[in-house]
Amino acid sequence: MKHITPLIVAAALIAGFIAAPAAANPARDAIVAGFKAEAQAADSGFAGFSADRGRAIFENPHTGGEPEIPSCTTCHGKTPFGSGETRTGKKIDPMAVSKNPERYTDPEKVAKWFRRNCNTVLGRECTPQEKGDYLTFMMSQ
Amino acid sequence: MRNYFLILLLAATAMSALSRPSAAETFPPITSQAVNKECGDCHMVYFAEMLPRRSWINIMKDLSNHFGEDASIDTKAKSEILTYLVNNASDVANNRAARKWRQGLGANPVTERIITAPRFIEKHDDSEFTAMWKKLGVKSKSDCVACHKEAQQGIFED
Repeated sequence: MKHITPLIVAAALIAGFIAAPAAANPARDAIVAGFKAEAQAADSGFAGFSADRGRAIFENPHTGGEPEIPSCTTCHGKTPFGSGETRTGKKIDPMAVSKNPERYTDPEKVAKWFRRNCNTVLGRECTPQEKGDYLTFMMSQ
Repeated sequence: MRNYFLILLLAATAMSALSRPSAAETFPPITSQAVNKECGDCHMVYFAEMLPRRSWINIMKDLSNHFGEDASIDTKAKSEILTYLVNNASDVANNRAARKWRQGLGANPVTERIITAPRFIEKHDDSEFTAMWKKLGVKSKSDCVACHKEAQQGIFED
């Protein structure tokens, strides 16, 4: 038994690793759940998050913020799979969870960057609905 | 024989001094973790010695509008960063870089952009640079590393 146990453990780990979808992460799920609770509290008609709406937020040009940065894609690049670049030339790692599994697992970091970047691009804070849509899109990518 | 070696040594020293551009600038390493982390999230971490005290105070006054972007941070990090920047500003620190970067500031209005600091202009104000920036596709003059490969380590050679 002594010799078999490590094998079983290894097999279980490998199976778990293969079976787990890229997006499954308790910390990230908790962040999305937090936005869901906020969205429900703000709107009794809340009907879930949408990856398509999240994609639109990411890709579409916006008004109200810094004119030089009208879209998320201005700095993050055309697709969530590639790297981006700040206006000052600093590289930004991909936003898609499949490309960057560390993404959206630190609640403080998520809150900080939604605050900053929504203010910069849209000229206002994003709603919980928008944040959840955005994360749902990035988790599907 | 001894003299011969001495001459060789002197010649070698002179050669190496010549091959290093006299323009080379060196900055002491940035010792604040908050500066490296928070400033470095978005751009090269600029050296405090590049701007005078009054400029850093102005820049840090409203980080929610940091050259058009919201770069707001928590108050603890903000106070650590401001303290570091002010203590090492060009008109406060006493190293060669600081002395060079405070020259020509006079009572000029507060400069918030490093690319408008007298030392920056003195070192880059030439059509040759405009051509080089164009050729290399430098996105922004504030991206020092595009040309000065060791800029973040505090070494600015041509």
